[in-house]
Amino acid sequence: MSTSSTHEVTKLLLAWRQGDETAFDRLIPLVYRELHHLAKRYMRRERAGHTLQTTALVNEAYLHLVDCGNVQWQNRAHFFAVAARVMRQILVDYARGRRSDKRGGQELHVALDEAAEVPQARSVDLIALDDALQSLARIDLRKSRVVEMRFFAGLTLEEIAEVFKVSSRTVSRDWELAQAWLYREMSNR
Amino acid sequence: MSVVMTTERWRQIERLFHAALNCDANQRAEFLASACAGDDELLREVNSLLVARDKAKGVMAENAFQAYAREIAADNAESTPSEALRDDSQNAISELSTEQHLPGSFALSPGTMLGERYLIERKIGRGGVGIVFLARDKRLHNAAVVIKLLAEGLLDLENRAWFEKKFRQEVYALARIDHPGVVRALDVLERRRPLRAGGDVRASFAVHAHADLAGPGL
Repeated sequence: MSTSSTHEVTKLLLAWRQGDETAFDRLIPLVYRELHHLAKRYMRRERAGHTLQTTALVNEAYLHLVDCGNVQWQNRAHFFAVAARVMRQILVDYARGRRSDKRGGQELHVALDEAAEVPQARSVDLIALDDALQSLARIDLRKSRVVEMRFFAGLTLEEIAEVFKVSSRTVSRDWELAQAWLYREMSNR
Repeated sequence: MSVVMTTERWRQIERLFHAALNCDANQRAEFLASACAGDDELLREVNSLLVARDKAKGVMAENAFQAYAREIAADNAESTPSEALRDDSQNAISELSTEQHLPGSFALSPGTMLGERYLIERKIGRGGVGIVFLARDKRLHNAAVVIKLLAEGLLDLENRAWFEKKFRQEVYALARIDHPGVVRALDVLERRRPLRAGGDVRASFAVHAHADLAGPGL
């Protein structure tokens, strides 16, 4: 990542924080390229037996893309919000690719709760989740974004609260209702 | 849900959903019946969300990325893990060479003092994951010791925790073995360095007895 791109990303993040919504859209391709590249590298590590952390991945992208001499916590939270959108795009695109893959043909089921201590893995179909999130966005945009940030980029409630300038209790309530709503929506399909 | 939802209706549902969760479970039905005041559709809506909430527990407890990684890994299963690791550590060195990623100050040069006790004399070797230095124990009359630390290329942010853990496990295992054929582990040191971006990085150093001087039979 060149220095000029680093300045560009930092500038766009600041613009977005100050209310320029177009900055968000201009950030996405810049972040996409970096995250996609990092994700591929992380895959190889995962295969080599390492533990993967989305937050670590996004944090690494952040360190690459943002001028760290000018770093602020709010910048990081806002960067993660963009990254969440990008991660959603990458993961859902990938799931769609798998579905139409000549070898696969079946849906990608994402196993969750994979910690060794948790005996039963739950799973969520990312494509169905993406569709349900689009429906949720039409009813309650903030809740869909909360899910995006929490589920696709691993942001904490406090970080999400910072992005929306609301209390973390509000984010926690958003997250709770959104999960229930999405679950019901996906079950009804 | 096919019915068009007004913002007002949605706020109503949201309010009742949270209010119901704050009720004792045995009073919930009564509370909702009274709060919905004959609006059966509202009651059904809130109830179905409460049911979904219980079923949804844990479904999104962790985020989506790990599984994606496994899928990719399965797709590329033809190459071996060791190849992947080698490939990766090269990448890590070339891509993560910026100051905020690698703990440059962890590089030990002759004359560096570690933990106010071990004086680095010179580098004596480098293996796949570690670098080995000869040092002098200033508290024990300059006794020769060997200091091992993880190679820097493996010490980027994401891999660190895993390697550090393995590194320490090895040291603790060696520390329990007392056999003339096994180099004793004497100590583990840790150094921290703050990152400009916040947080810090840590590196473990293992101190081993120097094999040549460790005793008879070696």
